[in-house]
Amino acid sequence: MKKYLILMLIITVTIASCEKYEVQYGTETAATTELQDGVYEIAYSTEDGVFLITAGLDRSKMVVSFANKFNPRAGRVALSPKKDKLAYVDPDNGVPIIVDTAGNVLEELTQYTNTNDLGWYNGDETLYILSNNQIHFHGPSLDLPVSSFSSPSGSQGYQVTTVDINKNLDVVYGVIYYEFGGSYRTWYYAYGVDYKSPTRTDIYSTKSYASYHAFQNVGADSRRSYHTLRFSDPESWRDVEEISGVYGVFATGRYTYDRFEGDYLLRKSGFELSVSEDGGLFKRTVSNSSNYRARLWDIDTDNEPLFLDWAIGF
Amino acid sequence: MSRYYLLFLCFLCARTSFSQIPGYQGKRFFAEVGTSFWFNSFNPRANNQGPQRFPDDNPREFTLQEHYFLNLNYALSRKLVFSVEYEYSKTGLHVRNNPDVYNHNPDRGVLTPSRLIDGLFDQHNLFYNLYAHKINFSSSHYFKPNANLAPLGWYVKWGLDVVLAKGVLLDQKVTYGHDATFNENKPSKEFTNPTGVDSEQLIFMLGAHGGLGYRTVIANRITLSTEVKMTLFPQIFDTAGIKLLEAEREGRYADRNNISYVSRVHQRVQAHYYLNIVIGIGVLIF
Repeated sequence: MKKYLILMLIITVTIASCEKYEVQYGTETAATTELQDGVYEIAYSTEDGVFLITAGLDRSKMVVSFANKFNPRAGRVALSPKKDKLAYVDPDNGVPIIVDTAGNVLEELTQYTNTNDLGWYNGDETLYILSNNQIHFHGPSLDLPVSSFSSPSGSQGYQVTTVDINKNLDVVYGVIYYEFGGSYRTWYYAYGVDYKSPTRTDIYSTKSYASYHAFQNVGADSRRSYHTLRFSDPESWRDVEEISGVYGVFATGRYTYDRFEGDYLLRKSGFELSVSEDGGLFKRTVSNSSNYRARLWDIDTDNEPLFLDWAIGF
Repeated sequence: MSRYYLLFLCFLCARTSFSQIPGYQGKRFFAEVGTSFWFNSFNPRANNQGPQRFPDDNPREFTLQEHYFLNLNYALSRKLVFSVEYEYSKTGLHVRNNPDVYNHNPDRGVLTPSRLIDGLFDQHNLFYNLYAHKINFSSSHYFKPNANLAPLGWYVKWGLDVVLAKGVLLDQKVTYGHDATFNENKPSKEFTNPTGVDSEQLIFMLGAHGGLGYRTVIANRITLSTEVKMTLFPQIFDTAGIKLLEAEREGRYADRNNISYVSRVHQRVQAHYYLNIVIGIGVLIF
């Protein structure tokens, strides 16, 4: 009798669990594997020219050579988020030049002299250009917050050297100027954020950098204008944006105002790119690092400043 | 003295001579159908009910895993029956990344390089129906000296198992590397690279089983048997892990995923047949 009971039990449990499986996600995938290896994601400039590096940090190519320039030196570069256009500053005349990733010149924006920084907004629609302490637009204008680029009283040689604009149209900028104190010039770096939202209070902070005797050749300090500020995504456990950058060899960031180093860290789209002043790049995912092969790349800077732009996201 | 010899001869005969020929009522050949089953410990059923189901690994839901068999048996002697058995099963197979450090043979899942951002991986949860066709060759030994007459009574059984298994992919959840909830975790032609898993392949496995059972007659020519059986497949101890890491290092993701899939099939088949209760109804034919 027990055997029949066992049989009945098996049959009951089996029939009870005979519900058909319903597909939840589907199984359609591409037919063949496609890798994004050929996408150039990082642009940089040294005194040799303008270069691109692939997203995987495994290949680079020279796009523009400065070999025939009268005054070859590193300048700003900006790679469009669409990764199809590259803007750089001509070392001879300081005007922005737009090229494609093969190096073909698309446009020369000769009206903007003394360009100190540039960047793309909204894919490759607008190129914003920091020239002669003003932001200009090539393409549709951006409705930026009221600029607070104004030289402090008593300041000399006031120059806005770097600017970055985030998706919210907030503007971070960096300034360099000097003041006379007796026969010495005291140099200052300033750092400010103009927020688009009226409810947020703008930031402005100044640091003195160094004092030189009036007769000293300040221009000999090649790193004086090596001055980069960029918006960066916050760490996952913070909910405010960070600002990363370097002032010469003086690093600044939301939490690292006083550290003297040339390295800085950018976070975008879940990735982290650290840039060291001697040209070392390290890219990894911010979280879930086991899901990513961290990448290293060395740029030969020859102890000269390095200007770099990272176009990640899609 | 001679009567002692006679007595001794009688004892000897009692030990060595049979009162009946092998088989029941002279019938040596019999066929059985039945089911073997156990509860699902680590895997879902074909309809995705059970523990560690697709895609959320819901850990506990009591379900059975069962197979159906047909076997042909012949009583070679009073103590020995030889059987050939065909066993069929259909079950669920959930392939996912589950690197359990305490498990010597963890599920390494299926990865593909991201189609969107170089250097990232998409992780796949795959749900298969796994069809297994199993042929067993066994001999049953009726071990009680005077109480058994094959095929009735207590027996121990051992033999070899040959399995051919094949999976059919039913569902796929993709956790995209750049965004864990991208595209509602659905695979697509546009965003998802193929896993490279060849589920058309028939996966061969060879194992050995042993069991303890009892068979009795319940009606004229009809037998009922119950058995506890354990089957082991040495394939689960292969070096898939090393080969998989090699393929991963060399960027051969289709190879890597196939190694992982085959290894999971080995695990699933092993889990399915590891321990079973077998119940069979047979008919004595001739």
